[in-house]
Amino acid sequence: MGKFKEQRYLPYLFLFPTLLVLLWITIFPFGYILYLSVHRYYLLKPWVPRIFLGVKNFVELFTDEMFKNTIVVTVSFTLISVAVEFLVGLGLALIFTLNVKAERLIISLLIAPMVVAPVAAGLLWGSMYNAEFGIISYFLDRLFGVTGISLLGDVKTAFLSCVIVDVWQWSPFMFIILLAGLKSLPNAPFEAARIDGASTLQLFRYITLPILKPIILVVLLIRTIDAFKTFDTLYVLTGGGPASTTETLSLYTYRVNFTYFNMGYGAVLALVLLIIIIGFCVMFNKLVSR
Amino acid sequence: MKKFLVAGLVIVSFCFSLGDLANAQKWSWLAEAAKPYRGITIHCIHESSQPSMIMSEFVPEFEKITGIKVEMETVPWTDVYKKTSLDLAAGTGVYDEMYVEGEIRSAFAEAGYLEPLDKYIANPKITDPNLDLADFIPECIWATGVYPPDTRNEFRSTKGTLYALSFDNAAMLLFYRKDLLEDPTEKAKFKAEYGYDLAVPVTWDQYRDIAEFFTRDTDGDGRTDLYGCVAQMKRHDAMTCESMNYWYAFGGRIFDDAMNVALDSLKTVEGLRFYISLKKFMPPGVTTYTWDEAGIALAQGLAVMGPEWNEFAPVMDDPAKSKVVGKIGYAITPKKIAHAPMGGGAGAAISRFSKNKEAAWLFVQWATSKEIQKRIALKGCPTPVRLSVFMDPEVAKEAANPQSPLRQLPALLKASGIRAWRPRVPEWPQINEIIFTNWSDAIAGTKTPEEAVSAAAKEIRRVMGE
Repeated sequence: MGKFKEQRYLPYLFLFPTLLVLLWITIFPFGYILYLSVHRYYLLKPWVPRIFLGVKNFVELFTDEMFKNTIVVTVSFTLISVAVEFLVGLGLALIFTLNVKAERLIISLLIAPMVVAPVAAGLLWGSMYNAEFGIISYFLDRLFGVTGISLLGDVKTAFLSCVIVDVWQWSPFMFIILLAGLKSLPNAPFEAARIDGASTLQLFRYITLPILKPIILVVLLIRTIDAFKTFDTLYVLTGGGPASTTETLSLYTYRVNFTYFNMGYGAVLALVLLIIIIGFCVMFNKLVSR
Repeated sequence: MKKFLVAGLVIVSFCFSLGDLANAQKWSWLAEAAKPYRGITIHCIHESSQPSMIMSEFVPEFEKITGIKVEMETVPWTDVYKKTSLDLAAGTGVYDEMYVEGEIRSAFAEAGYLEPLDKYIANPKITDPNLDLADFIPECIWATGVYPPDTRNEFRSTKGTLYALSFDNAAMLLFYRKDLLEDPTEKAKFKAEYGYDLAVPVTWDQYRDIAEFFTRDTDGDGRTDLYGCVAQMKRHDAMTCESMNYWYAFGGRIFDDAMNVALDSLKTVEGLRFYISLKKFMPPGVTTYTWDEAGIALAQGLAVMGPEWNEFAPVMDDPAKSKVVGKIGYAITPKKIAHAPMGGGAGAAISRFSKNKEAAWLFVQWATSKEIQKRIALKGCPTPVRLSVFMDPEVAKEAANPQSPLRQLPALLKASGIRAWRPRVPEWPQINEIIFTNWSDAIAGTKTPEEAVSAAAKEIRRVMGE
């Protein structure tokens, strides 16, 4: 009898440490953010009473010009980066479905950017973009005669310069996953279609893409969520950019929380970020299960 | 033979210990006061700027005299701000002694995070008999030590509670290429073009002319490689301070005497517009420059002049980092209506949550003592906070030496008493942010100077009204 009782509780006992960690790292902070988001709390001004503001904190979102700007910047950054990364990744993957010499070696080289820490990537590209001493500025000058331009300091070019860094770092991610998908395509449908006289383009459109659809959606989802949250690279490259042109939601949230120490409104912004990302997941979930 | 060797060794070690004795003599009060605290470890955090870095080199001596172990952290300014803010707000007491910049001191003191120093000063057991508070430059104590500061009687009143002892004396001065401004060929050409003599600019209009004059292509390859001036136009705290040299000189102010927001005046707009108009004489990357990059531009001979924090003087004369060793001259920043060289600096303060407050107090006194301040200065760092250091004959000799970084001291003295200060209010971090984000928009052209100034003023009023 005693042994039977123990067996019933054993699974919970095994789960307990993990649950504890989960509670500590995820659930408690989330609860605290919910609490903060409906209060007024300035970390450095403890004399200001921490009153309950309810929805007022959220209403402030609508009058915050900077917030609206960050939404525009973040959405454009995500859309453009992910789209370009996808095209580059898909293109490379398609090339590698043919027999390429020294395939393993070239793939390892192509994957290198992904392995670099985002902060290091930011610093690296920051040096290359440097207007006075950077190598990109040097070549722009010698090859195209473009002088006196600071890629990261100019309002017109800073945003795209950051997109380029993101594309450089994450296209390989799209590439390997899509390559794995392409390599695992079953032969049968292709043979059948070829017998029926399908062209390469038709093969691609009617067989490859539909079969790959789940993988494509997953990889787009992962990358979209990551691009939306991008912080390190942008912080190091421009810190929000000349005139807020690269101020994404995560940068703005960080600024409100750790420079202004306005924890109440900062929590609201963090919640907005979370809700948007959950929205993405729900949307993609629906698309995949269709 | 052996006898001579032994005798020689005895004499040599005696001489060394004499030196130690002399040293011990100077610090006998410290050794005595530290007796109950031997073996304690204190954690200190400082900015990784020249004065603190040099002081860190002397820390082992402090440890030897007192037996107190010091864990010294030197990090960039934004990290000092964030780490100390978080530590104090959470009350965790990680840091015992902190480098607290003037503006931040207001926020911390108001929140009750810093230890008032009066009760420590009144305790003779742990206080230097030679502390000599009157030896501290009053402006520095007002700026970095006392809260609440008497904002009306800007430089003379040191009423209020003392929360920190000044550690470094910072001002933004005009760094300029003495060799270029004194060159006879340049002088002749300038006179021909502009109709007056080339000299160190006293007004901002002269500064503009000189900047325009020197922006040129020096090696004939069709690309401009010398720029007349440099600024710190990154969307960053550096820009607020640096730009204030310009628009404060035009008469602009953040607050008026009654502490009402007075930012949106024509003077501020004019000053900001002038600041932006100089951009064409600056290196193209200037919108990514903070004080570090501006310093590099000057040291690499890329720019001829610019306002810069005085503590960068040693970098200008370091052959490993500078191409213009000995060629930089120092003056106060130019005027429009009045001169407004920006003031700065920080003090050494004790955290209210420290568990070793007395030991931290000993460290604070040591770091700001006449002896250590003098040695920091003699290492080439022109940021002394004590009058006695300025008057010291060794320091004065270096100040007269045209090759020494200390040649900057006369300019620093001239700036003292007329410095412009960032408002010492607890809301400063937000006000700072509002100013540099709006100014960055104006520089980029997405807002006109008028729009930027009125948007900033509106935001600041909202912040102050809370």
